[in-house]
Amino acid sequence: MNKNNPFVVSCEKSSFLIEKKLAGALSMKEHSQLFIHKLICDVCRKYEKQSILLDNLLRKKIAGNNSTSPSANIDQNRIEKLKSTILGKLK
Amino acid sequence: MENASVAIKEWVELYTSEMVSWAYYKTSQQETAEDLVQETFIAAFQSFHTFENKSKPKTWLFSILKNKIIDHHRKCYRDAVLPANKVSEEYSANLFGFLFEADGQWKKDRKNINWGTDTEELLDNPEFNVVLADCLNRLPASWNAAMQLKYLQEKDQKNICQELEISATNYWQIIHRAKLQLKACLENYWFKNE
Repeated sequence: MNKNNPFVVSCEKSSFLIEKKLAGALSMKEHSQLFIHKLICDVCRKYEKQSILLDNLLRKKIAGNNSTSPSANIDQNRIEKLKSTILGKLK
Repeated sequence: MENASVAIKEWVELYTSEMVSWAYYKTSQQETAEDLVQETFIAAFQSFHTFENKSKPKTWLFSILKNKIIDHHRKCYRDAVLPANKVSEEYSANLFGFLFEADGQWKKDRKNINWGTDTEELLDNPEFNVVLADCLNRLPASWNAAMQLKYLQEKDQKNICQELEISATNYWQIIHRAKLQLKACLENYWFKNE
């Protein structure tokens, strides 16, 4: 790897630039660095896809309205107890 | 206040269960979820006069609950023993050492792991959901909180940096490292057999 060429970056740096790219925050220089790196690196091309996928999964998981999860088997006794605690505080 | 009391008592009966399970999904902690739901009803009771019948009670309650959840993650971020931008250098060095060679190239064993093709449907798979939740919980607490806030609020980066009181560079570092660690974790516990 040519360390003197400012447009040549490592995979580590490139994975950082991919993160910035996903949020539309790349500078012109960074954009070129990433573009050139991806031309020669299929692993980073793959990582970019993974990172986009991970983004979508996290958005769905964290921001979605989904609440079904097997670990969310909430104990109904606890719910009833909570209800009466809340009702008690509303007086 | 009479109206408020009657209405909210009815809502407690109707929505508590659903709200707790939603909050549990968002915080991974049952007690926290119950506390947040309780706080939500108290807040709803106190500001009942602002409730307009234009929106459905359930929508209104869930929007209050969502704000409580965001506050909870802010608190987790602030209270983390290790601030997000100071999670030990050793910790970050281990993460990078696990994924990259000394010259910054991906390690050989990372190059051949494939995530498969039916990945968009993954979240419909309950087992994957558990693994992803586990991986989020394994992040340093402050990184996890930063990720929760990033996706819950979808605010622009400038706003989040202000809210978390960190520089843009620090913010990118945290998100970058958190995503790398999630990749490593998922490849350990989910994608290894693909």
